[in-house]
Amino acid sequence: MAVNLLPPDARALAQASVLRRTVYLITTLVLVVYLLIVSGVGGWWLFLSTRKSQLQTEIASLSSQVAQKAAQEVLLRQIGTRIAQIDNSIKTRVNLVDLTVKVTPTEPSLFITSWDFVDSTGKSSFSLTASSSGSIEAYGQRLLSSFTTVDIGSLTRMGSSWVGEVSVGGSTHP
Amino acid sequence: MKKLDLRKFAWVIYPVVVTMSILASSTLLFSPGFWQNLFSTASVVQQATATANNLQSKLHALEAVNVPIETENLTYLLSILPATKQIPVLMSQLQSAAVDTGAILESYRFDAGDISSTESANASSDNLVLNVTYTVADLPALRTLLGNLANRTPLLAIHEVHYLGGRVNLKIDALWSPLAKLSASSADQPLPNVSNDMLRIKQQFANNVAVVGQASQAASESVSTNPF
Repeated sequence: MAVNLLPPDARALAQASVLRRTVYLITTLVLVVYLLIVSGVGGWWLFLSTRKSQLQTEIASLSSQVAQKAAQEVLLRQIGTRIAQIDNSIKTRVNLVDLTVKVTPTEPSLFITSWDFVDSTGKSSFSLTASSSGSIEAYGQRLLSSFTTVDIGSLTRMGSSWVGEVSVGGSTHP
Repeated sequence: MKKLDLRKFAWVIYPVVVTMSILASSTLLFSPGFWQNLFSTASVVQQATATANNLQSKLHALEAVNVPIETENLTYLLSILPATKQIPVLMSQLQSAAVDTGAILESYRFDAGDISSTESANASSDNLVLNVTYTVADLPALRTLLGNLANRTPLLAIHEVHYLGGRVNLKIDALWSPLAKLSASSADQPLPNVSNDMLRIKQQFANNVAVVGQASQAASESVSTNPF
């Protein structure tokens, strides 16, 4: 156990001195931290204000230079618009080659004698002649893999051959 | 009377003065309005930086535009989708398709309407509709003819096919669209990147070079490609 040999007055003075030093130290620390924060915020504000002013000048200058190139810009936009129109036109066209590939008969002795296609309805109607009704039915079955609707309207025996009416719809767009 | 020695109280005065100074200055500096203003300025600077960057890249892109080449590209595109109704080119295309595919062009009838190039609100509905009759050998020959017509420029859209015993009647819409009246957009709006699309279109229509060339000449004769 430490023994304090200082007289009571001297002890009080020593304690007061420690207290003063502590108060100085803490106050100085708080002041330094506060000044650092103020400097940081002030610096940020100064930076932002300067940058804002610089950018406003830069934007005005760039806008003016871009405006002088308006002719080039309009030319590019015309090209962009036209490409979009071409793409849209191609996309919305019915792929009739694909359609004819799908409907061309592969069955033996089966021929298409007439074909009517109307884009607005998306339907194709065929008249077929075949040597057997089975060929027309097989043809109809095959069409089912390419079209959403296949309707064999009529099947008539005409002498030695069969005549069928078929209509298909759906899945005609590429 | 004893003179008061302030140095003795400096250890009390110092923190009091610091505390009061901090309180006074923080009330003034760090009021809600100050922070609001600071963050608002930060946001404005951020937006302005983005705008300046956009303008910078747009300016570079515009400086890199080769006007003669781009004008040629527009002329090429106009040969695919004309700005006016290209009736003479169309007649030539119908005949040429017949020759190429061994079909016989029997007749054609136009519903041309107004053939001027002036833009109007309903211009897109002002179609150039053709009723064309060909004689073909059989269905595969018809398929070849339809494929040939589909690959021709100016673009054609076949809306109706009526085939009966080697005779086919087609209802064709010869596609066209007047040049849009465009003006330079707001300065910081980015430019369309057309180079890749242009390459794609050229590859897509590579087989139509001769046709495009022919139509291109007609397109450039009939309409000014200068969009300004």
